[in-house]
Amino acid sequence: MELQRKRSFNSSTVSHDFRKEYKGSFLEKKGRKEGKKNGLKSIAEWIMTKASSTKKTNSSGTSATSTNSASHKSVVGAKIVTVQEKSSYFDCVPNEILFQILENCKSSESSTTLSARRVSRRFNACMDHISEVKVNVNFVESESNIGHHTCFKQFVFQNVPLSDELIDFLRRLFQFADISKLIQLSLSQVDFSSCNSLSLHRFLAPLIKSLEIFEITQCNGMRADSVTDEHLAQLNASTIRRICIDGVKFASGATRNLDIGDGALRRFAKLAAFPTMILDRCAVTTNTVCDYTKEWFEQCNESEKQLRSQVCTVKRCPKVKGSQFESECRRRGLRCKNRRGSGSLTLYNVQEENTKREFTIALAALEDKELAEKLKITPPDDPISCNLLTVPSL
Amino acid sequence: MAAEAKPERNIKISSSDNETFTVPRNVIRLSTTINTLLQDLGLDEEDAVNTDPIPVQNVTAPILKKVIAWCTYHYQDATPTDDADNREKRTDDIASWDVEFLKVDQGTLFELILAANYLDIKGLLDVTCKTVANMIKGKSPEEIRRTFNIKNDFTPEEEEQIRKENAWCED
Repeated sequence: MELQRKRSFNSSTVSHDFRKEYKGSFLEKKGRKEGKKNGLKSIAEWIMTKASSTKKTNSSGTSATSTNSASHKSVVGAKIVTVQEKSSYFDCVPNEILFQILENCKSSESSTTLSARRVSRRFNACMDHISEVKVNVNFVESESNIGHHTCFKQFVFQNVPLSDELIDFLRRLFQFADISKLIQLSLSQVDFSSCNSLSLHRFLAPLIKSLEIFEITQCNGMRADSVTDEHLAQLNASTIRRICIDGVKFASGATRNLDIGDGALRRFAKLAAFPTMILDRCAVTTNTVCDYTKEWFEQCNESEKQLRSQVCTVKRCPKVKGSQFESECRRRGLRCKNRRGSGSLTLYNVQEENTKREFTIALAALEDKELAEKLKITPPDDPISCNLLTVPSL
Repeated sequence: MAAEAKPERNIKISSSDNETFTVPRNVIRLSTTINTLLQDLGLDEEDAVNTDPIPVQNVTAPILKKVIAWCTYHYQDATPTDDADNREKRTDDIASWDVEFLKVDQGTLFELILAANYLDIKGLLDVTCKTVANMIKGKSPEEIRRTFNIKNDFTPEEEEQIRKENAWCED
């Protein structure tokens, strides 16, 4: 019985049979030709695969490999197929030579240093080791991260518990690293609950020499003595240009402020150092803030006043009152105008008589809960008096 | 009676492919490796007789030839002081002869670096490293990779992290 292919084409409805037309046509010939080609191709591929797998298994095979390129040759018929995987010459260079090469790049413009870091993992590791780059230290895990060649310019500690053990560990590492050019120390979201006043003293001691920026922001577990006037007195008045104590969260609800009082402001004023300041929940008083403002007008040299935008902000400090600040300024011969700032800030622009020089104070209102508590104890004389003082200087 | 000038001593060294080179003692002095070897083995003394060449197994003949050529040109140079090491590195101070000498393909340049490192020829190592540094300078990461055929082995996350750190460094 002859098998017949099922007709899927209903010739009763369509008079033209395309299959008959296809038979013996150019299209059919082309299809056959390609089919043949594919067949040859697949055989060639099979031979190639077999040849390469044989080569791999044959350990005594003569492979044409050099130190820098691995090439595999397979014979298919009369053709020689060469697959080359060229590797970098850097692969055969030991690390000490790569260090030496990259050391030479280090001294050029910083873009080369940054580019070299992005080339490969090895380049990145070498650049980290030799470069004079700012290192953002979230948490130092091992001693090998810091070497003699490492020059730190910025430490940003974030979300770590500050303990005596960690400080001891870091102090040991600082002995092996170059921290002579360190300009910034920032502690952000750091937990202070496991350390005491002495801990921060010890931590700061090796770092303050050239420090320009000192920040403690959004830190928790703090006590009144976590940061004090004595800590700020450790800072080098001739180099420091920004002190920021902000977002203070105390371990105990009973603690109202840090032991940063008038001493710090007086010291800086005395040394004619007027760093940009943000003091949150501190024990500074209205009078000292006014004195500090007055000192700025008196001591800061003319060119600096014209050029520098200095900000001293005092927030949530119970001993600083807006209305009192205004009257104290007037008493010192300073004109003071207030205006609404962003959020809960009230800005006080302080001007010296007959001059255009300006020193701006910003007051932030107490948080509702604290305000309610405060109102229970001492009712304010006027609405502004509950504000917290921020002293931005221009 | 005027003292007769001593004949210059020669040292034989052989490359990894067994080619032997005869080099004046004063020239090969630039290689701390060979210099120390000769001193330690007592081959530096007047009466020392040694006809066997010193094998330099890690260096091929063409590279050893270049190394000897460099040493021959530079053997009378003043010895660099320790201060030179402490000074900030510069790469634009390569002597014009060295620039011409190092106009070679990348493979030869890296082989010269390895030979200089193995033979401990400080001057040659310095100048070859500076030449490679000059090839890196001013290039983007991709251009450096292309120049030296380096594979980018960073994960996208690592690349992002470095990009962030670099942005932070540029601040």
